[in-house]
Order: sequence, then structure tokens, then C-alpha cells
Amino acid sequence: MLVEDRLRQGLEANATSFTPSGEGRLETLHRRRRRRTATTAASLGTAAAALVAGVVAQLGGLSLPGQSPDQDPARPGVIQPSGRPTALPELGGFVHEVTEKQGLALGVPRQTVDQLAGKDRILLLGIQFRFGTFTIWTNDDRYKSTAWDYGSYEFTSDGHLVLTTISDKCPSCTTTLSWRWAGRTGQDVVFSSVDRDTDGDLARWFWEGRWTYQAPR
Amino acid sequence: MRANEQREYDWYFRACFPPVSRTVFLMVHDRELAEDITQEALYRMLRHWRTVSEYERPEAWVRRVAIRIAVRELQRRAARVSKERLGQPTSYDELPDPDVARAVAELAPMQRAAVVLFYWEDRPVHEIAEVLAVSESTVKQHLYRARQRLASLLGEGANDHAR
Repeated sequence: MLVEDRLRQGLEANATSFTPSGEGRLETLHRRRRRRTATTAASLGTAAAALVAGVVAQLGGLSLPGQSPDQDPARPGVIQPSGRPTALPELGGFVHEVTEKQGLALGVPRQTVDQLAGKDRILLLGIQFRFGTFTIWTNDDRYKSTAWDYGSYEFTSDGHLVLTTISDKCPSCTTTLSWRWAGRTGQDVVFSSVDRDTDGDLARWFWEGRWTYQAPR
Repeated sequence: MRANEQREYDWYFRACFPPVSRTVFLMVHDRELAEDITQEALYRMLRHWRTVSEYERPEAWVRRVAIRIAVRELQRRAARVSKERLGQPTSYDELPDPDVARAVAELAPMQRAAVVLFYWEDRPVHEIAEVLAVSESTVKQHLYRARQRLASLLGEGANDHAR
């Protein structure tokens, strides 16, 4: 018997011997979503309360608990990474430039690098975080910006940033990043230790390194 | 999520869960893991339901996500030290065709996925390329290499091949 026929028969026999039980799983899944929604609502409530408290304290010329009077007041949504859920500025964005040479050194295929870096052999990337979503944009050789990818983002309990794509390009692909402030809190950020579902080398080329903060105009 | 959205989602869940679980099962050879992976893919669909429900084929989105999770899981397992894997041997004897399951388990994760999608789901090469996020020529290469390996493992006769 040809291996193709043998395979088709064998795979069919093995597949039909398995009867998945979906109903219980559906209930589990709805419970999980309800829990997540409740947790998110609670976190948002806490964040809103903290923000209001911060504004009230600043208006009254007071310092927040644990904040020295001469310390820069943290802008809304900016918390120093400290091994617990953190946040990145939602005003403005970050830009990052990578070169053809860096891509090739990381093992990204030449064709992909050429396609992305273009004639100037430089790829400019930008990212903006807003209301739990992210948008990545890039420019072409004529410096025209286009949105490249978008999705949701969240922080793990140990402070890692997890981006989940919802665009049709790579649906539900996740990228997990370690990050730290390059200097002052709320300014430039350094991404490292990239972990991605697919195209790991490509993701490292895009992400690793210092991203420059751009304040809103 | 509104009641009508939930009804629509539940309908997709019930329609997708069995076939996607079976496909994943043929790759991972573990019933519970196959259901876990499918559940995770469907959970991601639930989280992004408003976007995904607008797609022409939401079920294709779920299949793609589930298969990518399965490939990743297989790659993780392959990376484990052999001693750890020996501690959890997979039993194929309870399956109707244990020889095919054993032979497929010998393939690299991407080859497994390509074989299952091609021979079980009858997906065309361009669709497999899209699911696995690789080029069509890479899929053809995976299928060619997998076929060679499977022919030797399943003992395809020289006469069969000549036909």
C-alpha cells in the first residue's frame, strides 16, 4: 500500500476514535472569562482611585505615600518596574531604528530583511500603548508611516509585557518582552529577552534595544 | 458580552471544538492536551470575539491558533532532555492504528503539522503555508521529507513506490 493511503486510513481511524467533550470546556471557558473581567474591572477601579488620589495630592501640594517631595511626580500610567504589574506611558509613543546588518546578524533571512529594511537598509518602528491596546507603525523608504500591527497588551505578575496580536496577519500570536527604563522613569525604554510564538529571530530584530520616548505634540 | 454575541460564540465553540481537537490530537497524541490546546485557542477567540466574528471564517482563525500552539508545545517537548521524556512514555497501543501514530510522532513538529493538515484535513499547500506562517515551498519541503521518513517507518514496499 502506498504510504499516502496508509497514512490517510491510519489518521482517520485514530482521529475518529477520539470523541472530544466540549460542553464542560465551554462552561470552564466562560467562567475563566468572567473571572478575568472581574479582575480587570477591579484593577481599573484601583488605578482610577490611585489617579484621583494623585491629582488631589498634587493640587494640595502634598506628596504621595512613599514619594519624596522633590521626586518628579509620576505621570498617569507610569510606574517604575518593580517585579509587579507595571505600565508604560499612554501619552506619546516610542520609536526604534534597526539596521539591515543587525537583522542578518540575528539570523533573519536575507529576503525578509531586504523587504523590510528597504533601500535605505534601515527600518524605523514606532509603538503606542493606549487603553490596553498597542499599535505598531513603520515607515517606507519615502518616510510614509503605515500601521503594521495591532492588538492588546498586558503585564504579567512578574512585570513582563505581553503583546497579543489581533490583526489578521498573525492572529493571537503573542510576544513576551522583558523591559526596563533606560534612564528616567517614563522616558526611553529598553526591551530585551524576546519570546515569541513564531518568527523569534525577526521579533528579536524588531524589539531588542532602546526605544526612544516621544512626547505628544 | 451581550446575550446574542454569546449565543453566536457558543455556536462557534460547539462547531469548532470537536474537529479542531481531533486535528490537534493527531499531532500531540494526548487527548487531554489536545482539548486543552483547543480550549486555549477558543478562549483567545472569546477574548477577541468582536474582531474575530467579523472575519469571513472565524473557524479558520481558531484552527490556525490551535495548530500554532500545538507546534509550539511539540517544540518545547522536543527541547526537553531525553531522560525527562522517558519518564512519561506515550502509549499508542490503545489507538486503532498505533503504527501510524508512532510514525507521525517521529516527525519534527512542523512536519507533523503539515502531514496532519495535508493527509487528514485535505488542506491545500497554500492554506497550510498560511496556517504555519511559512512559505509554500517550505510546506512542500516538510511534506517531502515527512513522506520519505514515513515511507521508511511504515515499510512502504519498493514496488508500491514505483507504481
